[in-house]
Amino acid sequence: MKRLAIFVVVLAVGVTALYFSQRRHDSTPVSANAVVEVAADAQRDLSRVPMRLTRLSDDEEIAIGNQLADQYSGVTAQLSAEELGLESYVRRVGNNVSSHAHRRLPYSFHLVPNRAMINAFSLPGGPVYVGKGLLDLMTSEDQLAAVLGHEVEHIDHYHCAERVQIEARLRKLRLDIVGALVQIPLTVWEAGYNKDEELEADREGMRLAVLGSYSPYGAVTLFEKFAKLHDEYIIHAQSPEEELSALAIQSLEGYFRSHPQPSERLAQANRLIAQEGWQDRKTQKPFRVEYEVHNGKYVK
Amino acid sequence: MALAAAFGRIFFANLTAGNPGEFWGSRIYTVLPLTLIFFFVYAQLGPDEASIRDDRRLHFDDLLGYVGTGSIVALLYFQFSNDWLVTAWAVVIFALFGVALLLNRAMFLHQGIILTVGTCVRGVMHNLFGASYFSGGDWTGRYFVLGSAVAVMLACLPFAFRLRDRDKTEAPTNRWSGALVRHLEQFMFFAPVLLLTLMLALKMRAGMVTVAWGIEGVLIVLLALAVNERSFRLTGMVLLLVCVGKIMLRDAWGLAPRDRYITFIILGAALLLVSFLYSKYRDAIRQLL
Repeated sequence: MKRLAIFVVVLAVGVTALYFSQRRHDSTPVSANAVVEVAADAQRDLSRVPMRLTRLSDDEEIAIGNQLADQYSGVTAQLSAEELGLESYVRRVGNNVSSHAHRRLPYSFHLVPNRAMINAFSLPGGPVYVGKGLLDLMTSEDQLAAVLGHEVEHIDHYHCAERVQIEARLRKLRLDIVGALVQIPLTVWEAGYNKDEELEADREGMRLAVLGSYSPYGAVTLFEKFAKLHDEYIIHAQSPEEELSALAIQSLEGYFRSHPQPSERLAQANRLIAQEGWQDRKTQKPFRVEYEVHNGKYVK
Repeated sequence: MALAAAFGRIFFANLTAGNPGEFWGSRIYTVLPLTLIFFFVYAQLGPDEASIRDDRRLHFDDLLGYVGTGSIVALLYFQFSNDWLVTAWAVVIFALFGVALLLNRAMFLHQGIILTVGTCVRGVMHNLFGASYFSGGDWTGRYFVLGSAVAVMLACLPFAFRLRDRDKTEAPTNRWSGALVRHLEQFMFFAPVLLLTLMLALKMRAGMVTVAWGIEGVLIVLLALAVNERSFRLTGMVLLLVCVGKIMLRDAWGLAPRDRYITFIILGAALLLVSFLYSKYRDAIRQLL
């Protein structure tokens, strides 16, 4: 009798759960995100102990960053007058934001003139790169401040320095040998960090933007845009076969890009705004690039 | 097979479901009923059922028990923020030892031991070494999160003592876990105490580490006297001796004047209190030696 009663309770709970699941309209795509997230977190936690014990000095980090940045000098050297104006604008916003970082490093801001690059990344010691494709999505200066603040915080919180240490260890490279780091491909830096680090960079980047007199809603509006793009991009499987193929694609991609979901980043941004009482800082500055060209050449 | 597949699928479809920041979302109401089902079936596969002898040979009941607890542990991983996970897992440890005592099933005891190891590893790796360099510097981020996990694990000690006393009457096993199970109270004392000591060393301001260790040592001696455990008492004494050694070798010369005065006053008071307790409970302590 007791066993039957427990069985009925378990059955009732199961049926209720099914009812609520069916009634709920939002569907979660089948993905390996959970496994990827756990693996990325475990990898990060395991690597953090030796990283903390063998932390690079700021000078070492700057020297390494300069070596890596040399690889990008070819990409950023050929800029048109319009692009130089855009880069100068990025630099102005970046300098404003980075002046409030914890570590005093020589932060520098560069434009990657590639419309297909909807991304930004940073290198150890200070260099920050923003793709033209990402700038095309922006409508306010506050959004740019949020992105640059995020990238500065990857440097400020040693995420980049730790990555170079890990990559050097995996590839058996010596950090003190000039030129050795050329073997680290640039895609390593373009790929995101793990969820914890991304969320930390979002949080701290928003603080930097606010300290630089920008609206925290710059980050919010940008994440809303990312969430919309993400929803359009992901595959909604309709059958177990589709689920499996979607899973395989997302697992491979996800391991290297274990960014948190845009919705998660958006939720954190809104939570931070409420927590810090930033609700009245809604006004955003328009994204406006002003530059002067003389005889087809960029002047200022 | 169906239950194993259901468990596997939660990692791909359920654990990341729901909206961020939502507590009572689809993650909870899809995984929890499944956990109930795992434990219900586990409970049906009792060890005295002759009809499921074949199943017992494959230990399906144990497997389902582990799958049930595994799904809760995984659910908590995604349900709570990364920092607070240690506390959530510590609560599961407490529940597992309670259930082990209540139902007299060793499997829950083994699960509790495994999860204690996992929680301590996570605490060291994530909360101590993996924490942010600059943010999370308030008292909650520094001490309260890991401190609460340590407190909950230490709260398992009454269960551990009762489980030890009960297991004393049972025949000793040759399994890997035999030693741990027979001395569960030692394990459940040393694991959180080591975590606490390390936390104080890494999170306290350098000038206050000796004071914090001294206070910890006194509290451990008090606990030892309350539960009559020699190893606990020796641990407290060793910690106090380390503090005295640290003061003589390092703090007396290297600390700022204010920190030095505070350290000397508090450590002096701690040593006086311990010597008073030793003289008051001399007879009881002699019996323990």
